[in-house]
This record gives sequence, structure tokens and C-alpha cells, in this order.
Amino acid sequence: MSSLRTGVRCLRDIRQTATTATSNASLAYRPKQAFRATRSIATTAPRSAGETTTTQIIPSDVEPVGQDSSATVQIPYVRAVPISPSYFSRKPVFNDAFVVVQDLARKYARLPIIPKDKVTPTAWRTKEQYRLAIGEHAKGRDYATCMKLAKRLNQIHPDLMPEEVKAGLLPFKREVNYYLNRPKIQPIDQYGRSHGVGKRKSSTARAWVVEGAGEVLVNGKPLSEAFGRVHDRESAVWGMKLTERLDKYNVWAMVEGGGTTGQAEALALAIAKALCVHEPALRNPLRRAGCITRDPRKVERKKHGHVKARKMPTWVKR
Amino acid sequence: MAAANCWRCLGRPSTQRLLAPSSIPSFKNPTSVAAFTTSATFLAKDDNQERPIEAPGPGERKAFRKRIQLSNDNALKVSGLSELEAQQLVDPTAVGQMASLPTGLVDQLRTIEAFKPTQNWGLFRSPHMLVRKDTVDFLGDMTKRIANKETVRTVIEGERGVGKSMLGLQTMAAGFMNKMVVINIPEAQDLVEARTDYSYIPRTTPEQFSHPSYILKLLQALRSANEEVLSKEIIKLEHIHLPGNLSRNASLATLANVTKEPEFAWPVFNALWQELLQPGRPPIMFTLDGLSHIMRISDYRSPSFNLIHAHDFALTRLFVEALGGKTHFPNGAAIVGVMTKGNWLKDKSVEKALEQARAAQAELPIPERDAYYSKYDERVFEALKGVEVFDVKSISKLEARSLMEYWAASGVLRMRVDEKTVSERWTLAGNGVLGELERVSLYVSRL
Amino acid sequence: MASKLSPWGACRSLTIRTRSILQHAERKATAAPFHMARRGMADNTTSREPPSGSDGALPPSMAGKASAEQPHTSPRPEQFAPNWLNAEAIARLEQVAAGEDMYDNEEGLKFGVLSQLPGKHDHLQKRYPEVLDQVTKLLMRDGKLSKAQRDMAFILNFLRTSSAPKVSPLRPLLPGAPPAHTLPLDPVAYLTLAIDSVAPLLRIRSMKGMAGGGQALEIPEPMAARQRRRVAVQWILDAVNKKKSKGSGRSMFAHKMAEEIIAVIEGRSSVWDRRQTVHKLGTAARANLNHPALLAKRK
Repeated sequence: MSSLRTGVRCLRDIRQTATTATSNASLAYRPKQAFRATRSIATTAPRSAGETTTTQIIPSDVEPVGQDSSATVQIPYVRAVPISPSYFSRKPVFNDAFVVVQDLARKYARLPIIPKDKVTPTAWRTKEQYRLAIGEHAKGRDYATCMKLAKRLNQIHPDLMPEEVKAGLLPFKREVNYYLNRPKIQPIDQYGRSHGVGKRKSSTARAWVVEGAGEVLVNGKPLSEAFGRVHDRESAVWGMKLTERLDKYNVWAMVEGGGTTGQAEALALAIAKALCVHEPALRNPLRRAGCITRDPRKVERKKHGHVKARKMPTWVKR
Repeated sequence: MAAANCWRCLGRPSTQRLLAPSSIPSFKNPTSVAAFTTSATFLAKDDNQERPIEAPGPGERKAFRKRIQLSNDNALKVSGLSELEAQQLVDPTAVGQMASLPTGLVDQLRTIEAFKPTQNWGLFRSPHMLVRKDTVDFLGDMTKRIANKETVRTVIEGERGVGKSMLGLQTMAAGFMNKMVVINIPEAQDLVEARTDYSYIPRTTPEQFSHPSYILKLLQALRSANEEVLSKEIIKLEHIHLPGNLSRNASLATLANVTKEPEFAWPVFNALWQELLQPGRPPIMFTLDGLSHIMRISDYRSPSFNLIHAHDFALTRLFVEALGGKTHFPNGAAIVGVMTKGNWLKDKSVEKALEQARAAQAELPIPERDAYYSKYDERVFEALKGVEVFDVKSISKLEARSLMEYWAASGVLRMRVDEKTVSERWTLAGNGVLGELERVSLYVSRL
Repeated sequence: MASKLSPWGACRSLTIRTRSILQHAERKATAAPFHMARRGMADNTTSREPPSGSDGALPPSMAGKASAEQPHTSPRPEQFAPNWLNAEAIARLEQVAAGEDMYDNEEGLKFGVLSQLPGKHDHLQKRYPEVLDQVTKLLMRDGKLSKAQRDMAFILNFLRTSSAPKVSPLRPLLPGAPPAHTLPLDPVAYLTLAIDSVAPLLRIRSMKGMAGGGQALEIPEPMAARQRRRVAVQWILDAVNKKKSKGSGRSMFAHKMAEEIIAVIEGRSSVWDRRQTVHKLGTAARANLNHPALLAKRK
């Protein structure tokens, strides 16, 4: 990191010296104006790289404020100068963004921050996503350091958050903040039923839960007929059992696909979800009971060249 | 041999260890014990010759599988429950009560094989049963009609594990307590699956067959279970064709005991049956478990190598004629066929016959037979003509609670029994299916 | 909705201590305005020690006023930084002061609060006792878990119905084991006790060629509880497979297994000999722990 920093510093120094060198004879140009002057030369995008050669050097038509207007027209640079000091580094965009973040972090270090868990959840770009977005291979370590600063900046109290910081952090945020997505609120229908869907292995279960006295029908059959194993029966109504709601609701469910274990545990998920519609506060206990989390494991597919998913054919000498 | 090191903790004998006598075996004189050898040869001596595992003797396996255990000394004694009385089985206020079976009744029921190996009797100190609503409904009606010398012909139906055989057992218990002559065929499957010997009964057209050793066993069970009733009754008919000398005023118990030979089993049984049909005798209760098994063509073959229909066996014919209403019982009788759902072959004839019987009972239009199905068995329809069908239903939460409280008091169910737990188990048991309730509650690890 | 946020946590963030309940009641009775934001240390002077540096006199703040002035009559509200944490905590406490519940638990619930939250063993996938789970999975063959569970249920029911075991003094069970006659009614404890008692404490690891001359060096190694149980069950299963077949049907294996467990408790089982053998080997191999080759490797 320090190497990058010094590198950036060097670039900056060079820029400054160059500016001073060219404007040595004339009055001093402020670097910012120099920037503005050369902004028309796009340097970062490779497409426009060709353009720079054809574009003639545009003399700055901005007159320095408070300078002698009678001075002769100054040519700021003898050659085209890239807008970014990191132009000749391997990752100009990232370096620039990083420098911005560093500067902001230094500048606003004193602003009050709020605890991490109170910050509005932000969808940050991962290293890979960032690389893909800017087309540069940002180094993992540097990106991590940058993100650390960015997240610290993001902790600044929302009331005091400067616009500058918001803009500076923008390149590191995803376009869509999926944390703001809210699940669609499932309604309870006119008959007092709530609906939930659950999946496990290759089974799918749909459950309709209604207030009642604890009767469960699965595919039109009572629980004991639907599941021969007591273990499976227990799995199916596990959420209701643990939250002491087994005698408070009736369940009508459809299950299809897969085997008994899959069906029972898919049903557990479906019933738990439908139960949460009636009583949202049960979500936490149900999660602790293991009924809210979808188990994503599935049968691994068979691959060609393998006997099964992973098994290889026996090695034969000839 | 006492080892030089401790069994449990690898500690060497020391004074401290000697001072702690309780859980560690003490080494009174450690020097007198030879130190063990550390050589590997000591361990290499371990004889590796594996003896072949002996196979169990003939009949041992089945006896093990079918053994019936009616008590468990480890279970706690449940005090405060009354002994079962005949009145309790027909009293609507007694619904939901647990009652213990009197010892004499247990012996009788055991003799006629009313208990089944799948019924979890072995978990409790002594046999208890729940008086449920279905019991009272069924037995109350039955008792009343038998008192009027009517014949009750019923098929007990219901889902799997709902308590059909238990209701059969309660019926038999009621029969014994009401001084009826109780005959029970515990497993109809045994009669048709070619498991026991069979023989042609001479001079019968169409030809009939009997199960000599099975009937002999049945006869002996019948005699010893109904000893009290049978020994009071005196022979009325002539039995000259029977072996042995029957004196004029021999009791029916003597008649039942007259032979030990399988070949005479059927004639004796038949003679006893005829005696019981005489007016003035005690009412008969004839029960059969696994009714659907005898409603098909059996696996036995006749001398002409044709498969024999189950109704061509003398014993099943006796039952089927009684069930179908062909036999006249002057003293009243209860003919009860219990269906089984655990191991039954689906049979369209039985289904349709029961459907028709149900409709007739409810005075609804009788459903027609499927015109496109040609394999209906006419004899099945004849056998089930006019029977009543009694559907056993799930138990209520109240009944479930009293049952679970009994289990908890026995120490078998180790949980608090309250409304929540009862309701939970009731739901897990498919909304109160009795057998499932047992499975759900009585096993520590789930099945 | 019952959130994770504990009101007490919120209170703690205030860095004040609320007054004792007694005083709270007094305050209500006198209908004095309820000020939450007051340092609670004031009523806790009894436990404070006088400063040792001075000449034993009371601190100046208390010396003159203690008798004359009632400390509670003139509360001086203290200002806290108006950040959200304090605001929330104060709002909660004011809610309590107004006679309401600390937080409305009932929100989002139709049938009242749960009597207890699901615990560690209430997870869908961890519903059986640990030992039972492990043993069941060890009984499993060809991935047929439900068959293994059925066997397990039969084993436990067999333990329940068989007569109480007679523990042999030669083969003591775990210290602190429940009396033998109580075991059948708690079959899980029965099974656990048998397995834990007969489980070896160590295993012998042989390090190839370490003893010199191509000979293996045998080193005793302690095992974790789960490992020990596994070994014990494997031994019991070996003994079971050598038994004579008892009956036919589903319960045959379970019956044999249950009998072996009873034999273990009663000290009749051959598994005890295996355990003894391993322990003897372990005691003998203790010397190898200081073997130069091993020490060299450890460095």
C-alpha cells in the first residue's frame, strides 16, 4: 500500500513540477485551472487515445483571476498532458478513486460517526465486481484498504454526510442496493388463510395455514397417512410444535416431488413461512428452530467422464 | 485377574488411589499381582479362530417374533385405576377412562390369542385398556341385542392403526364377562396361506377341507378359555361317531377335550358347534381378525390341483355362514369380523360388498356393481350379505389425554402431559389415530 | 415485533443506574415527577468508602448536607448527549414510567409470547440427544437412516422392558452413574452409560519407522469424547455380529444389540477385554512418549 501511496505522491509531484516548469516564464497557473483547461483531452479511455494525437493543443482560454490581462496568450503545455496523474500507472481509474477516498477520509476524519449496525445497509461492490465495472485489475489488498476507508466514511452521521463524500463513494457502491429490497408482504386472504411455499432437495410444498384446532392435511390425507415415518411427521410440523402453535392453526398442504424426507422438510419451511404471515414475531424463534432457512443442497449432477458425480472410472493399464 | 493398572483411568496403584475406594477398584496388595507383560507376543496370542454363528432351531425365530409379553417389571405401577367391569364397557359416562384387566380375564384373552405382538402391552406393568367412545357405542348396542337373543353380525372397519383389533379384544373381553362362549381366530391369514396342514373331509360335496392341527389348537384354546361356561352345559345330542367314550351327561368341556388327535379335531369341533346351537345354551361370540384374508382363493390346492377357495375350508365356512346369516342362532350370537389394513390385499369384491352393506345400513340407495369388472366373487357378496359395518374412528383429545396420563404415570412417557403436549401428539398421530399415538409417544427415538 | 434489542442493553448504554424499586414506588406514591435521567449513584452512598487520603471526615459534599437536606426532594436532571442511543433508552424508560410494558411483546403475535425460545436441541436437524444421534448413524448401513432409527427405537424399548441389570464390581461403570434399577426407565441414559463406560480413553498411534530399523513406534494418544464413543460402538457392533441369530424379522438385530448393551453394563461383554487390551498397550507405550525420535520430531 505504501508503495502505491508514494507512487501517487510522486505522480502528483511530477505534475506540479511540470506545471511550474511550463508556466515558469508566465504567471503561475493554478493547477486546478490547468486541470480544467485540459479536460477536453480525454485520456483514460483507450478509444479516445487516438483523438489526443489529432486534437491540437488547446490553449487555455481561461484567464487567471486577478492576473494581468495584458499578458500574452499562454500555452500551458508544450505537449498534451493527461488529465489524470495516474495516467501512466496500470490502474488509473482505481488509483484516482482511491486517492479521492483517501483525501476524503483525511478531510472528514473528525465528523461524528454512528455505529456500524446503525448504518443503512449498503451494497458495496466486491473486488470482482469492481474490476468488472472499471475494466482494471485492481489489486485485492489495495481494494480492501480502500474499502476500509470507504466504509469508515460511510459511517459518518447521515445528517452531516457531505455531498463530496457521497460522490466519492459512488464508484464503490453497486447500482442497486439490494438491502433496500423488501420482501413482498404476503396477505392473509378473506378466509383467514396464509400461504407459504417451501422447497428442499427436489420437493416443493405449498401450505395454507388458517386458525383452527391443530388438524393437518397433506395432499388431502392426515399427517399419519402422508408420512409413514414419525420423524418426518415431526419434521413437517416442527415449526408449529416449537412455537406452541400446533393446537392453534390448521394446515392444508400440497407436496410434490422428491422423497419423504424432502417433502417433510419442504413442508416445514412452507408452514413456517405461512405462520410468519399470521405472526411476524415468530420469525426469530422459527429461525432458531431451523425452519426458516432453505437448505440449498441438492443432488450433484453427473459429469461426463465420471461414473457418478465425482467417481472416476477405474484406471486400466491398457 | 486384577490388573496392575486401573480399569478406568490408567492410573497406577498409589496410596492416594487406595484411599478412594468407591468408584475405583482397590488394589489391596499391588505387589502380589504380577506386573503385566508389555511384550507384543502377549497380545499376538489372541486366538483368532472364529466360530461359525449357529443358526436358530426350527420354530425358534417365529416363536421369538410372535412372543407376547404382557408385563414389564420396570414400569411403574399405576394406582387408582379400577378393574374393568362389564358395565364399564357399555356405560357412556365411562368414556375416556383407563381400566386394568382382571387377571382371570387376561388369562382367558391370552389363551384365545386376543393380544397381538404389535400392541405394546410389554411396556407396562399390567394390561390396561382405554374405554373409548367407539367401545361404548359398539358394545352397548351389541349387549342389548344379544340379551334379546338376536344375532349381531358386524364387520369392524377403520383406518390402519385406528384400534380395530383392540376393539375386537374389548368385544371378546365383554363376551367373557357376559358369560358367552368366545371363539376367536386370531389371524385369518394362517388359514389361507398354506402354512398349516390341511386335509379333505370325507363325504362332503362340494369337497371341503379342514386344518386338523390348527383346529385342534383352536379347540383346546376354546376349551380352556371357556372352561367355566362349558363345564356347566350338558351334552344334548348323540355323538357316536366321535372317538372316546362320552357319557350321557358329560359337559361340553369334556366334549371339547375328547380328542388329542388332529384327525378328529374337525368332527369334535363341529359337534361342539352343533351343541352350542341348541336352544338354551349360552350365546356364542365368534370373532375373526383379518377378515379380508378369507375372502379370496387360498393358496392350498385340492387333490385335482385346483386352488381351493377360502370358503371351502370347514372352519372358514362355519364363520362365513354365521356372518352371512345362514346359520340360525337361537340363543343370540355375536359374529364379528375384524378387517385388517396392515397386510391386506385390496379386493374389489370385499370393497363393493362392504360399500353395499354400509348403504343398506344407512338406508341409502345401494350402489351397483361395476358392470365392466368381471371378477367379482359371488361368494364374498353372499358372505357379507346384510352385515353391519362399524367404522372405528380416531380418538378425541380427551381420550388421548387420559391415555397419555396413564403412560406418563407408568414412567414410559417421560414428559409433562398438558393440553399442549396432548394436542401436539394428537396431531402427529394423524388427528388421533390410536396406533400412531402409541408410535409417536412410546418410542424414544422416532421410527 | 420482539427485536433482538434488549431494553436493559439500552439502559446500560445510558451509563446510569436506575433507582431501586423501593424508591421508585415511593416516588410514584408521592406523585413526584419521574426523572429518569439522574445519576443513580446518589442513593448508593452506603457502599462507597470514604477517601483514605483525608482525615476520615465525610466528603465535603455530604458532610454538611446529609442531615439537613433530603437528597431526593430536589432532583437535578442531568443532560445527556442527544444522540439516538440515549434517546431510545430514555424513551423506553419513560414508557415504563408511564406504567406500560417495557416493550410490547405481543406485537406480531396472536397467541401470546412463547414460554421459552427454542433452545440448542430444538433445531430441526438436532432434535435427538447427541449420543443417540451418533449411535444411530453408526448403526446405519447403506445410507438407510430410517431403518437405523427403527433399530434404535427397538433397542431402547428392549432396554426399557428387560429387567434391571446387575452391575459387576469388577467392571465399574462411570463414577456418578445412576443406580442400576433406575436405568431401564431411562433407556437413553442406559445406552449412554454403557457406551461411555466401555469406551477406551486412548488409542495407539503407530508412527511408521520411527522406532528405528523400520519398526513402528507406538504412541498412546488421548481421544475426544465423540471419538471414544465411536470406537466403543464399533466394538459393540463387532461383538453383536458374532452373536447367534435370535429370531427373524425386523427386531432381530436390535434385540442382539440391546442384549450386548446389557452385557456391557453387567460386565459380561467381551468388549471390556478389548478396552483392557488397549489400555494395557497404552500404559506400556507411555515410555515411547519420550523416545528420542519423537522428541526430535517435536522440535
